[in-house]
Amino acid sequence: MGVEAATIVPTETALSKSILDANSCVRRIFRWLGFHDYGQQRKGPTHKSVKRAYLVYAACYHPTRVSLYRPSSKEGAPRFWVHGLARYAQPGDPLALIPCDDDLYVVNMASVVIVRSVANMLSSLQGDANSTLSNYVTVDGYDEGREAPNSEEDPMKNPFLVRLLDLQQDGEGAISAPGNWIKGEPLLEVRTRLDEVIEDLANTGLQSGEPESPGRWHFFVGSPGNGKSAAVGKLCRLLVSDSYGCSIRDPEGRSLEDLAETDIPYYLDVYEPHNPFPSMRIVQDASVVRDPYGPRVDPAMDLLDTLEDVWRRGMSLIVCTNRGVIEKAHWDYHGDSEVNRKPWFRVLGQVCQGKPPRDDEESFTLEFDAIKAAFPGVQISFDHLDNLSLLVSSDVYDRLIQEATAACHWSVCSECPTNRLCPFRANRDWLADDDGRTNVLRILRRAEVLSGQVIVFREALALLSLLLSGCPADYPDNDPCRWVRTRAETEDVFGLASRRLYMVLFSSHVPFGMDRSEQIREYQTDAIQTIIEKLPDHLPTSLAPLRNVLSGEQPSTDVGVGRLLALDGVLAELDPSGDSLPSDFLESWEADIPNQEGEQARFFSEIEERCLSIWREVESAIEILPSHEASDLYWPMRRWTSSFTLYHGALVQGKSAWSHQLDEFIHLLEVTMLAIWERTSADKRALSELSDKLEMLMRLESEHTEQLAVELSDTVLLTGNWVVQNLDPQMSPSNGSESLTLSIQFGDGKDEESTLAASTFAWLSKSVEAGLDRRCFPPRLLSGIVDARVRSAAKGGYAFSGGDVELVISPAEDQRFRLKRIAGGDVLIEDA
Amino acid sequence: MKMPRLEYPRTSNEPRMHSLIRKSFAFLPTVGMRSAPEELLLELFREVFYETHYESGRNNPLDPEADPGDAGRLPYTKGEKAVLYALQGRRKKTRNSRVNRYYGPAYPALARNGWFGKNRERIVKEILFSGIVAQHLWHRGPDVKAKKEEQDRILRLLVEAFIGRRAVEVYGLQGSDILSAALADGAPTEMDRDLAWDKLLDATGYSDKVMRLDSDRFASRICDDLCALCELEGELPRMQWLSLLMTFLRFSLPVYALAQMRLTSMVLDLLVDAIDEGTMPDQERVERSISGRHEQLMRPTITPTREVFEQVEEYIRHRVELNVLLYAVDATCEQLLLGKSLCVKGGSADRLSLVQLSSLCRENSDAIRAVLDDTGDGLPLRNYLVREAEKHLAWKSPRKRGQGKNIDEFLRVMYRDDLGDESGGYLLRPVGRGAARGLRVFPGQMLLKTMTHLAAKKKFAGSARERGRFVLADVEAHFADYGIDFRDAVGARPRLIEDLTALGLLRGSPDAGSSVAISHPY
Repeated sequence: MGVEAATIVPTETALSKSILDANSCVRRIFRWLGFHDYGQQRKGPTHKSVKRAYLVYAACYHPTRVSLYRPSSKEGAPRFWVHGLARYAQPGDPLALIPCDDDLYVVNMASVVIVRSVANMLSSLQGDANSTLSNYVTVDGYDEGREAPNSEEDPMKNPFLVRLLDLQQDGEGAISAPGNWIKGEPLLEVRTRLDEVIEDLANTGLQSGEPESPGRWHFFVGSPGNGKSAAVGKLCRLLVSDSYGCSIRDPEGRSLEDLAETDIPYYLDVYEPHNPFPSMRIVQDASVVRDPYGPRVDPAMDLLDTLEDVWRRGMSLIVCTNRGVIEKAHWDYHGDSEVNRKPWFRVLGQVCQGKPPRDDEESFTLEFDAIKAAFPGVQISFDHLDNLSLLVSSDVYDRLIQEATAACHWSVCSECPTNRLCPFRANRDWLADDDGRTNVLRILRRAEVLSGQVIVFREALALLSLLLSGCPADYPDNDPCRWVRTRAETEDVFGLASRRLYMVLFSSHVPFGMDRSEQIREYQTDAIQTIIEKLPDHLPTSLAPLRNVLSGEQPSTDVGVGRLLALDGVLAELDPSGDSLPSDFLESWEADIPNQEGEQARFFSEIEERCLSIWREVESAIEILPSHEASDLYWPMRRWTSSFTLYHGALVQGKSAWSHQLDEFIHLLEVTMLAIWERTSADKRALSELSDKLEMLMRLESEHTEQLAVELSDTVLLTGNWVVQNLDPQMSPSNGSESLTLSIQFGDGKDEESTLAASTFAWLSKSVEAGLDRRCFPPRLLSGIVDARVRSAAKGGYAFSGGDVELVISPAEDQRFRLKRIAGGDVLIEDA
Repeated sequence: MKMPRLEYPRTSNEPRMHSLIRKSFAFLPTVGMRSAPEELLLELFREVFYETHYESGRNNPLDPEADPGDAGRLPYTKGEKAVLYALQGRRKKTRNSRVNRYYGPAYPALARNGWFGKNRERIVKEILFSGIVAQHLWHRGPDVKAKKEEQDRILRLLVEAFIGRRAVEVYGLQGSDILSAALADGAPTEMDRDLAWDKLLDATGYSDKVMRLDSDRFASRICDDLCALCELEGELPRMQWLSLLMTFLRFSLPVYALAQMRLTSMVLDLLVDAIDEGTMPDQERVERSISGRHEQLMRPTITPTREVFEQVEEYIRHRVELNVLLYAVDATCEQLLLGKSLCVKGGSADRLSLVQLSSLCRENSDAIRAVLDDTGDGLPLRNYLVREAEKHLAWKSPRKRGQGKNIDEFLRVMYRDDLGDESGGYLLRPVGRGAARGLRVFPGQMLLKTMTHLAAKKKFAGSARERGRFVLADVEAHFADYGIDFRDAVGARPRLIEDLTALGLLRGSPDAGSSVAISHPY
């Protein structure tokens, strides 16, 4: 190739244990090119070096990291590991390691295509002295070469899609369990703040760290599926890697490697090299009971037992749990002096009251009192994950999508003969496009806040998997590529279109994107039936696709991720057809079959082109029929057409129901998540406007007065300056579990609290902006806020106040009394 | 030899209540329709603060615009009208009624122009004062000194709260409740405390209807909660306090009546067992059963059930059967039941204990059976009781005839009303019509808040060491004290958590289950 490179051939053991020996060739090249000098490196995990690396594919590179270290054990033999290598190479594949500009490029020489491609790039490099290798690698898009497929039997099959299916709710990769933690790295992984926490725990939670330094107790608190176990899995991979050389065993002494995927031990102990006693205990899911068949089935009690045991041993402890178990353990024994005086019990209280991390102040240290403690003391810290969104104030989901759509995973598709009709490849292209991805994320962000509940990692990955590899229920042979080819061969265009991402998001619960209403669906199928029967000669290209619609072999409508995608799911509430859309949008996307020109052309795949051509052909054919028959067919067909085109257009333009209102709510949520000093004047203005809107809403509630008023009952309004002074709302982000709502506090001490959900805000905004009649406002949305305000008014003692308090009593439309408190405690009574 | 047919006095729907039961703990006082909680409040103030709970034989609903004419009572002034309208309840369903709303009197003086008729059932007196409060005070006997002191304390608390600690005549104008201050231009609002005291003393005194038990958790719970509510008066505005009180009355009185109904079934079962099996009741178990008469009274349900209807039907049928059986005992052991009342324990010349009655039945089982068994085919006693009981209309149509109808109507005060019940003081929500009608048992928001407040009061009344944090389990336990058990009801806890969240009272993670922290609403 003309560049200096070291070569290695990883064994199966090396790939499974994530350890590569830095042989003399590697050490020499690394040192010679100034990339890394093992001779200068000290032993132990604290001296590990991590650098950027790239896995080179035929048409792109995949960014990753390389760890370079000398373990404390094994005489400090130099080692390294390239993250993601197990997915990139097979055992026995020769790998070239090319250090360049402090980065390491890894080239799989077993792939002729890759080698040729790299050789081409390097030859180009020779003509440009200022370029780096990465400049010559295309990040996105395809080239003619392709990655050597792992699957010998079907060269057209994209193995990445098959692996993606594992991420769906019943897939093997959906749940992270100890049995699969060290068997390979996760398929999709992006670096998050938790990675730093994990690395910190690995560095400071073992005895081989700084001498006399405290151990670690760390609690990952969050709801199911939000990545606690995956984080601990990562920690375990790090600990068993050669950097740390630890072994991890379950209570029965079985090592992590020996655990079956279904084994879920209550805890795992981490043993450092040359130490027969464990230094760290990992409770990977404290919400399960230690012994499900035992007499006492109480995870909270099991957690307390664990804390006491670990405290007695003076070890480090990592706990993954949902918030409920911690709260139950704390509150159940809060009043029990036998338990609450123990020093470790204090920890629970701190963890319960903890807020989502924002700075480094969330740790404190306790001293162990055991004589044979592994550590002199322990530093306590925690991460509350349940309110951490992957979408709001975070780019994690964005990066996950980019990872999944990286060209390297899709290069094999470029030679597939049916790639132009593949909805998954088309979806990938959409998501790889910055504008396309932004709009999908925008819709998902709205869905998240509208539901008031964060989309957890498991849901996020399952949805991504569904968009990029379809629904496993459609594939008896677990092969999405074959499904696409079969559908393409049988001209089932609408079946393929059903898996386009806009249809998956808005209409996956009905077959072929037809109407939600069963009755209208019947009209539509009847219309298709009639068209096929009466006009077969006028449908040269449409007959087969239409027959497929009636064949009963529709793609599965049970696609999982029900909270988001089901008929009553959150995205159904965002259905763009449920809101008034701008007329120009409707003209472009609904009123007429859209053309595919301009900016949006890139979001039209051949699937859309085929669908549009079929609909045009059908409409032309219908016109042949007598007008009374034509009108009966035209309407249901048009409704079917427009559901596709409208959803398509909505996703192209990032539109949905409530879009403006929900985007505003997201902005407010992001503003309230900021510390006060971090807020800009625009942010403060937005919050102030929200207060104004709330006030206007309160006025909407009370039709009898222009002033701010509290509806004490359906007859009595409380008003006057007292209300303004004492019941003005104050907003902050809600700390409720999994909650994406704003918290509103009322009262002097702000002791009455309610939540302002996105749905309430959306209605509120619409009411204020459009001047809706107060009766349009769904009362259930406001009941919590109204009740909190009434309680606050009652506790504030409005009835005893000598201030400006007024009760407006309206027993009938034409009857009203005003009781107004005046000086001296007297009450003026006016009637009208 | 064929025995003569059993003869006993009858009313139009059922056997006349046997005197042994009528004067005993097993007797459920007559109840009747209370269409809205405001009616219970009116009845309460009339019972406590007026010489007679009625002014005439006919019902006279509270009406702010009513002109009492020359009856010597003052019409309502503008301020009084305003206050009456402030406590306007739901709309009446009858079209022809002159008054088309229910009104609650915020203060006793406002009850002067409304009452229930002379012969109407006195639910507040019989169930609340002579039932619950008397039972709580005297379940260990009439001579417990501490209880006499407690009676004084409770009566003082009730009178103070009902009059209003922030009423102008008590507190002065400055700092008084705005509703009370609005009455300043009206009729004198000061009520006769001595009269109230005497009437309450009389109503809450010991009687044969009090069950002698070592402990009566149910009556004590309701009584303690009533006191807790009365302690809150003056801290909350009168209007909010009254809505809590009305919610409490609307819930606790029917629930107490439902629990009392179980005693009839229990007595019947004991006597039938004594006659059929020759078994004698264990005194301790009997007392435990009576003390736990409220347990599992209703299960919260998301779907409608007929559980409450079935309880009424069972009570009426058992009541008819029990009376038939007692008349059969009368027929065999003449004079032995005469002039006596049934008691839980410790019989005397004029009182017959449950054990004594069972013993009597066992000793005379053949004769009793012979009286009822006119065919001589030796079936279990229950069969003959049913054969005799089914001749009565009340047994055949338990909820449409006689007392069953009254009870059914009384229980409707717990129903959610479609018109003006938005605050949610209900427990039952009717679903469907006619024979398919069922009841969804789940507290409305106001009832939930009231019970949460009472649960918090109970929790923080204990010693500081035992208190701990106020959690969902405390609210659930409080409902369980009233026989509404969330712990066993499928799907009820998540719904409860959802409702508490909507009220802004949840302070922790819902996945903590019963240990999730709750905040105190008042």
